[in-house]
Amino acid sequence: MTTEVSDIKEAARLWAVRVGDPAFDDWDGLTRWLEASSAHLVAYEAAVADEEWAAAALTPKPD
Amino acid sequence: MTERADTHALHAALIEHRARLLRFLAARGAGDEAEDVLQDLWQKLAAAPERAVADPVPYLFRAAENHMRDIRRATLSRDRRQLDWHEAGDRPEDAPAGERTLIAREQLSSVEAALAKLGARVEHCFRRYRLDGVGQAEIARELGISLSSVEKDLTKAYRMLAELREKLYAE
Repeated sequence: MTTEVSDIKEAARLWAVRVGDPAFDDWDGLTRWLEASSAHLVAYEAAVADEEWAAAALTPKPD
Repeated sequence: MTERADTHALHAALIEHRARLLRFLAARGAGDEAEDVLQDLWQKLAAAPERAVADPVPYLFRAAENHMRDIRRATLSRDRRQLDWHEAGDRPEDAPAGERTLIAREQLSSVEAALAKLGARVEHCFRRYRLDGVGQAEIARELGISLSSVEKDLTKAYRMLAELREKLYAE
């Protein structure tokens, strides 16, 4: 993995953490970051999917 | 506040901040379809039951973010169904109910073990934040630590859980 890719993943995770706050209000900042590279959206969606997976795993639903 | 007043306030905010919302939606994955997505989102919001909206603008952006998450989930499950048409699935959700419960239990204990490894404070932050829906400022107050420490702890948890998920699915 190149440094650049892991940097993007790390930045994406930080955005996913921040957006998760009910008080998050830097939507324009997120917009600009997403616009900067198409790789950013991919990484952001992966970060969101990862944390949603973990949260779902911690709250098992009876089926 | 009445439902009507809320819907009016939301609509006024949507008109005023339309360009910002469209730009966000386009960057967030809607691309050229941002206008249509905003239209769908508005229909969803206008049809929703009464709610008190203290601050309409962040509310609209939050709704836009959630809408894009819904679209992505729907796209993923549709793609999965199409794939299943060709080949028998071997993913957890294709397994029989008993096996699914077992997988869910294994995932639960893996996630719990991963969080425990990060220490009590990181685990507490993650659970409060992600499961109880408590904001970072409140968690910082509860623990008597700085906001940036909470953010660092949460990032650590997210990183570890992403690695865990990758590992589990690679097996």
